[in-house]
Amino acid sequence: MRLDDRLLGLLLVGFSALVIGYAQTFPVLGGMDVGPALFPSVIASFLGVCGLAMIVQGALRRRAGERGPLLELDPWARTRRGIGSLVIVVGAVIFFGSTLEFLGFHISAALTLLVLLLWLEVRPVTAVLTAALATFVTHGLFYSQLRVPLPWGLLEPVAW
Amino acid sequence: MPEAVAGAFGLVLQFDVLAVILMAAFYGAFVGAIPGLTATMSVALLVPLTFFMEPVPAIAAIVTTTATAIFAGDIPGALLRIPGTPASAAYAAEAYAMTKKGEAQLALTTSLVTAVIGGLIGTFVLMAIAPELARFAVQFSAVEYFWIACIGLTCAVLIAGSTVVKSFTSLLIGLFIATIGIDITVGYPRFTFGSVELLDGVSFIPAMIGMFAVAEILRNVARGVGGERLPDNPLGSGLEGFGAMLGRYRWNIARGSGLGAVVGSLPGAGADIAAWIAYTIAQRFSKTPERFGKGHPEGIAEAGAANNAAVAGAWTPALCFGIPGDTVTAIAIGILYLKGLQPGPLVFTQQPDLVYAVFVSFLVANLMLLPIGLLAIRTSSYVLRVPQNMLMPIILLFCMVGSFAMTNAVFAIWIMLALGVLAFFMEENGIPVAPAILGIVLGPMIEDNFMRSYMRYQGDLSGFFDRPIAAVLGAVTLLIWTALIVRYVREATRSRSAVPAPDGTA
Repeated sequence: MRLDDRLLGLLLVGFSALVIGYAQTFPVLGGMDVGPALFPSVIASFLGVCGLAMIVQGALRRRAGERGPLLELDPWARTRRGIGSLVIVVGAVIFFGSTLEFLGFHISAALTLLVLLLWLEVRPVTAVLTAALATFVTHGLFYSQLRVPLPWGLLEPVAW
Repeated sequence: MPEAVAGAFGLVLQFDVLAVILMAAFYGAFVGAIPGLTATMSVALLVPLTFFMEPVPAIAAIVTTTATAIFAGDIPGALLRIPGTPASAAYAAEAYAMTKKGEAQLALTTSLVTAVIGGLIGTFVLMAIAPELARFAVQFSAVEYFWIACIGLTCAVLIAGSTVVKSFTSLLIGLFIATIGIDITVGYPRFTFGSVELLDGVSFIPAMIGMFAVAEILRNVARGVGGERLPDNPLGSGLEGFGAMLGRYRWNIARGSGLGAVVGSLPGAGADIAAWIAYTIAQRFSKTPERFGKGHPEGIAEAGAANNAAVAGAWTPALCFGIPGDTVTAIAIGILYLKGLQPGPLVFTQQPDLVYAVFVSFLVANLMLLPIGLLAIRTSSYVLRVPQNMLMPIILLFCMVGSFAMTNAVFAIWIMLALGVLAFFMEENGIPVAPAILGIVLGPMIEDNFMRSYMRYQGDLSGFFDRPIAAVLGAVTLLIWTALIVRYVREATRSRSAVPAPDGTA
């Protein structure tokens, strides 16, 4: 998923303008003309310069007769499987993060793993065993050994 | 400081630390040998565990993991022509050509032995240079630190291997991320949009895991995982003539080691760049350059020594100035900060045993690399058969739990995800990730030193050049910036000439 340099540059210029504008609402140091806004503004203006430079580079290349689409897709991004894999992985993280406290670590982790394993074409029996084993090993390592308070959620009554 | 050295040996040569080193070596060998999982990723995954360790075993674990992972990256490079880590990319084709001639074992043993030699030489160079440099750096004030950090960051841009503009963009993205949270001058919450969790800023470890591990998982699953076929009897014949060959290439090994130690100590340039340069030099000065690329071990010997020497070299600026020499030391510095230690020249006087513990860890790690590396070569055909489609989900779970473990808050998982997606998108568009990481680590230090100097000189920018060392450092910084602008103009005009870019559209 590659953006044309001019598009990428435009994105950066826009972002830089937003940051600079927002930073002007920051307070200034007593007795000085600068404050918390200085650093973000400097960084953002450099980002804006980089954006402009990208636009120039892209335009020069265009004038030199180079023709490319505004959005270039790699082979994987044209297949339903490639896009699906991205969506599933991102979705799995969102699912795990939002259900961790309610369902508890064991249920959340096992479900997340199972869905991912099945999507990646692991055989169902192997997937179930792997999900269960990985869940318990991770829990043993982080909860029992390192004392990370992974939530129990629904399994609170049987917590060990 | 002999007593500090003795103390360091005492700190490292303990049962629990040695056990950590041994486990880290196996772990590094495994992760490094899996194609698509880099040495940096192996360290990022290790970070949550090191968070719960004492500083010395934590450092020892990172050092050992990197050293073994960089070597193990050669294994899939030789057997499948897929470098396990970017540091092996320089000679993966060469090693694969040897495999096709039935000399895989020779190729891998060459890179193992030269890795051990390179790693040890790199460590000795580090031990010799770092204390001297630190003694010099003790005189630095906030201005000098500001300039040193600027040089470090711009070097990272200079060597990032992408176009100047895109590397710079990456660096600025990192610096911007570092400004999120309470600001250091008046305590004003910047870019938090009312989120309490963001007041402390973007926490470093979830950011790291996201940018290095999650982004790589996304890339691996999007491209489709697995499917490479190992050749039958992959290791081929034995090791006849191995000793004689090492003797023949002793100067290559020495040159590669020295070069690796120097290149590694440049901020932002790590093992991968050291290996590329060493391989090129080996070919240029070889008596038989025409044999390169056709299964000739000379380049493997030189570059194999260089990339492991660079691993040690990267710690020079990290220990002396607190400026990371590569992505791994960027992570290590972040961990030391979390443990309340500030890397920099003062560590050498205040906690010399910690510094020497780094040295001793490197010695032990490199010595241990020999037996574990031989074992890894012997068992390589099994490791390479580990199905990646089962590994990726487990690694993702580790990422999520590891991020959670830092603050015991789900918010860390969101940071990990956001930065993982950002890093994936950046790399898709040719924007390298390494400068951004350096930006995140060094951002607060740069701002802090700049604001302090700015206030001391009451807004007079000429104060930044007042002290002699500061003036030199400032001049060097401005010089590098000029060089970068020149390179940008060259890049822009080169694409104007009607010749199409090397790979068509890029």
